[in-house]
Amino acid sequence: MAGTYRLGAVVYHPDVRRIWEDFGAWFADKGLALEPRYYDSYEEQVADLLAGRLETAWNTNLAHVQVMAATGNVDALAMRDTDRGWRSLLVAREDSGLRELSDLRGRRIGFGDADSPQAHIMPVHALRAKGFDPERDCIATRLDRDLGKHGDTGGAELAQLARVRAGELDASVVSSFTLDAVGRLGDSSGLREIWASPPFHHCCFTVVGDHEQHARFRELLLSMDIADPKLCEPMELEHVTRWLPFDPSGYGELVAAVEAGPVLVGRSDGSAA
Amino acid sequence: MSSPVAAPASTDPGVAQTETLPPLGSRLWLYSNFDCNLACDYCCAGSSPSAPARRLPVEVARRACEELAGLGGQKILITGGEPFLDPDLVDLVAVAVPWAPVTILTNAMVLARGSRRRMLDALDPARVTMQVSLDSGTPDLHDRHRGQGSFDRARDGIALLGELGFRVTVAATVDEADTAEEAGLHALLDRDGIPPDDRLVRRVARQGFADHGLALNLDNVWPEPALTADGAWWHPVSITDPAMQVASSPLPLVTVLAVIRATLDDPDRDRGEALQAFRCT
Repeated sequence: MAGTYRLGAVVYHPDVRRIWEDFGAWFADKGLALEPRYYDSYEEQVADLLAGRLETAWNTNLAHVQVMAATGNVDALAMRDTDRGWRSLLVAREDSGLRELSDLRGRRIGFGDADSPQAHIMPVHALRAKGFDPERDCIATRLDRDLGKHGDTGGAELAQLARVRAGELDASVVSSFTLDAVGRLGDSSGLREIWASPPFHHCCFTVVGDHEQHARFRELLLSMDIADPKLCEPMELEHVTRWLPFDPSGYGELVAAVEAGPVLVGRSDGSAA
Repeated sequence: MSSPVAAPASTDPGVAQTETLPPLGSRLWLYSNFDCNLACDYCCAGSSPSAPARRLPVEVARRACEELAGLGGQKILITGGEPFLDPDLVDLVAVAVPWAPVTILTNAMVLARGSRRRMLDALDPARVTMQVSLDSGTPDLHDRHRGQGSFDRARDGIALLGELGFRVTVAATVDEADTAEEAGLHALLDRDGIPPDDRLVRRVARQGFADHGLALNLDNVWPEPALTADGAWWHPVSITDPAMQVASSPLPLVTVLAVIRATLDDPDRDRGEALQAFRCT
C-alpha cells in the first residue's frame, strides 16, 4: 500500500470528525489509507495545502478560489451533487410589500459572515453588477458569527433571517441551500424571494499538483453509494447524495468577486454601517 | 425576480398527520440545567439535588434561539432540573424572548425569597409563561412522588406567580393506577382559577428515574427537539436515552433538525405504529 493520503477538513461542527472517521474506515477497506487532518479555519487548511502538508483539502468555493489565486497549479477532484447551482437570495417578509430589487433602495438589508461566499462576497459582487451597491444603496448590516468557516454553519444567515421575520431588517441574504433547509425543516411560507444571484458551485476537493493517489481517491469517492450501510450516515451528515466529478464552470463569478478586491459591507456587530 | 417561497410540503409518509403534532422546527426545548431541589421518582431527566448541573451555556442558547427564529419557530421552552437553580436563567430567558414566546417549567418551590426571587422579579410576565408541576388535588399523591411538603410549597409558588402577573399553567404527571386523582386536581384548579386549557395531565414515561410507564422511541413519539449542554435529543422526555440522541452538539440547530428529518423520512423506519405527540406542555 502507498503512503497515507492526507485530507484536510474544517470542523464547523463536531460531527465533521465523525464523518471523516467513517469515510476513513470505508476508504481503508478499499485499500486507501486516508489520513484526515482537522482545522479550525479554511485559511489554515489552505496554508497547509499550499505547503504540501495535505494531498487534498475539502474546501469551500472561496477556499478553492483562494488556492487558485495563490498558485496556477491547482485542480479539484470531485464535489457533492448538492454543491451545484447554489444562488444567493434576497428574502423579505411576504407581507412587506417588497417585490423587486429596486424596492430595497434605502432599506435595511442583512448579510452574513464577512468570509461567507454565499451570504456576503457573492451577493455583494452580484448586486453591484446589477447596479445596486449595498454600501451606497441600502443600509447594510453584517453578522460575523463564525469567521474562518466561510459561512458553513449557516448560523449568520438564519440569525439575519430571524431579524427579517421580527421586522428588524427589511430583507436579508440567504443561500438557496439554507432557504431550502428552512422549507424542509421549518416554515418558509411567510417569506418572499426578491432577488437571486447567478448560480455558482460550492465545495470541492482541491488539489495542488499531481499525486499518485489522486485518481484512486477520486475513483473511490465517485463510487460511494448512499445505500451502503457504512456510508449512509456520514453521507447524510455531509449533505451529499452522490459525489460528482468536479465542474470548474461554477466558480467564475467568485473568481471575479475576489479579483475585484476585498468586500466588506456593514459593521461586524450586525448593526447598520 | 419576485416570487413567493413555496410552503413546505408534507414529507412524512407513514406519519399520522394530526393537528396535535407540532410541526418540526416550530418548538425548541432548552434544558437549562440538570440539578434540582427535588428527586421525583418518575423524573425523566434523572434530576436531583446531587445531579451535576450540566448548564446550557447562554451563548449556545442565544445561537439556537436565533436559528430557530430564522427557521420560523414559534415557541421556546426552558426546562431542567429546576431552571431557577441555574444562576444564568435570566440571561437564558433574555436571549430567547426576542424571538418567541417562552415557557419555563418549574416546581415553583424555590421562588419566594433570595436570589431566586430576584431572578423571578427580573422576568417579564408579559413574555414568559410559567408551567408548574402539580400532580394531584391533595398532598398525598403529589408528595408521594415529589417529596414531603412539596405540594403546599408548589401551591404557594403558583399563588406567588399569579400575584406577579405571570400566566400560570399546570402539568400533572399521573400513573395509570392513579387516574382517579385527576378529578380532585381539576376541582382544585377550578377553585384556583387555572383555565382548563392551561392544564395538562400526562402519563409517566419510562425514562430517567422511572422504572415503569410509556416506552418511548424514535418510532412511536413525534419529535420535539431538545438541546442540552451535551447535545441534541429527539424529545425532551428522552434525554437520558442514548438511542434518542440525535447530535453530539446542540449546534448548529439546522443540523439537529436535518438529522431528525432524515430519520423521519428513512424508508426503513418502523412504521408499525403511528408517531404520536407526547405532550409536555
